[in-house]
Amino acid sequence: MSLAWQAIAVLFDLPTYILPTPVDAAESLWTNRDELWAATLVTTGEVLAGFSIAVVISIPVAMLLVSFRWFETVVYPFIVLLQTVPKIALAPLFVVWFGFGILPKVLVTFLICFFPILLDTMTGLRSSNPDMASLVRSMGGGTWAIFRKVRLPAALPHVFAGVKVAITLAVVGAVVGEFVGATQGLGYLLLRANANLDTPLLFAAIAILTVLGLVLYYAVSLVERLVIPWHVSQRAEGTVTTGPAV
Amino acid sequence: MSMADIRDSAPVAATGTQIDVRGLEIEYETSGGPVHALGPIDLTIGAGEFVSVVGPSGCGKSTLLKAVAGLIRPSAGGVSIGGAPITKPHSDLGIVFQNPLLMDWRSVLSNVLLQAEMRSMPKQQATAKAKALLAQVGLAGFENRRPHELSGGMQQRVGICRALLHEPPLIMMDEPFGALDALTREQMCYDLQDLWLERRPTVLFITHSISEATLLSDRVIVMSKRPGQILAEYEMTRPRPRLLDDDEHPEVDRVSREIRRLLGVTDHATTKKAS
Ligand SMILES: Nc1ncnc2c1ncn2[C@@H]1O[C@H](COP(=O)(O)OP(=O)(O)OP(=O)(O)O)[C@@H](O)[C@H]1O
Ligand SMILES: [Mg+2]
Repeated sequence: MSLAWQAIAVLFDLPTYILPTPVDAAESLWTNRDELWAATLVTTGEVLAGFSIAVVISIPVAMLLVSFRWFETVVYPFIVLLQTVPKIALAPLFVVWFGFGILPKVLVTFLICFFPILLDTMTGLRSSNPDMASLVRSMGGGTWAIFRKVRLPAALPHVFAGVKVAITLAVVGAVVGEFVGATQGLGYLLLRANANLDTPLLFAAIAILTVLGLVLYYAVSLVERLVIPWHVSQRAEGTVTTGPAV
Repeated sequence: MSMADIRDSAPVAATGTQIDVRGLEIEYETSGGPVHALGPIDLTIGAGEFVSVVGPSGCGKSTLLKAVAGLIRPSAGGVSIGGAPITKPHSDLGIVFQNPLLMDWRSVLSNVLLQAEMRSMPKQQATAKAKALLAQVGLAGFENRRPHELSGGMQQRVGICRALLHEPPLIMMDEPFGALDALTREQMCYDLQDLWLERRPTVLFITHSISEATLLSDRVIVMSKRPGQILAEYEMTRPRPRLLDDDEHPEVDRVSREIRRLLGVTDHATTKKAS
């Protein structure tokens, strides 16, 4: 692909500020490596902080929502309302309230990650076979035992589905947070490179963001494989080999 | 084996619990309105008695079992176990559900040990017992497999081990041998007969197999189509241990014929001969 890219850039003789060649981008990546590395650390920190807080808060909230009818009736409409407000539009407000530090970025990331995890966890907690609950009751177990032994483990595959969506959105959240007001981070570098028409640097930053997203996604997938090796989606023999046998 | 002694000596003192079902009716609420699934049913199962229930599919057998176990609330009437009215799920029992209900996230052994965990049984003893039970049903070597690696019949046997682990005084089984091949099924029937002879639990046994019912039971209950009601009851008095190929036995022969007739099976060979 990068060969085709290089070919197009060279063949059409496009100026570097429109489409730099991969070689230009790689060069920029190397010359600005210190600054890019520092920015990557900042952005990664924001992503992980917002994402982790979302995981830690949304899962217990989902448990409360499915466990108590009244809680769902009272709280869920607010959560949906919160979700419908475009979080990207909130970002400038957060800058006004919380300044240019990492807090507003973490907050945007958190808000973006919160809903997918919440929704999938709720679906998961409601997905177990009701007879399984009867089984635990017939062994003398109560609501808590059913929750711990049946509903929670049965929910995990759904939780991971939500968490995987969230981690890919988390990077978007942090970058948007940086766009509206920042002095550091990859989003900030993107804006600066854009203003200076330093398109090779722009491409270098985009490349790093893509790699960051991929690494985080596969890290979550790895955790998933370790935590729920029993689930259909994780079974090796579940994958049907297509294509020629030889 | 001490089976001969059991037969000749006085009957083993029943460890089971008595069940009384009075005017029991169950209605399910569905989107299409209430469904009258069962009843009214009146039934007493004596302490240490083995009672089988046969009836057409959908007549409410599983519903009856769940209601007796206190897992669904009766719309009318009620159930007492050991003289105490059932108002919440009864836990001094072992249930084999129609569906094996194994947890994908636990190994075979750990699925059986769920029973021990829930009852805080000593871990080591329970593990030894669980392994012995699994070996007895032909699952030695499968302890650490996951349920999805087992066939339907094997999964059912895991469910049976789980229900028996704590040696309950009351056992309820909902078509426990349904998914088994003929030979394994016979073996399991004999094992269940031995277990009952040794410990005399009260057993409520649901089956589609008339031969299983006549082999194992003190009494066979025949249920009507939905809403399930009791059509007939047959005492099975031939001495134990019994054999499955005892079709020639006059009692077995008579009861089997009558059940088939009640459930609407036409036997062309006999009708021709009779006419
Ligand atoms: N949870 C439920 N909600 C609504 N209707 C139900 C429910 N469970 C069972 N029924 C209905 O109640 C009737 C009796 O069901 P049940 O499962 O007790 O039958 P069964 O005799 O065990 O059948 P089978 O031999 O096929 O297992 C059926 O008509 C069924 O459709
Ligand atoms: Mg049934």
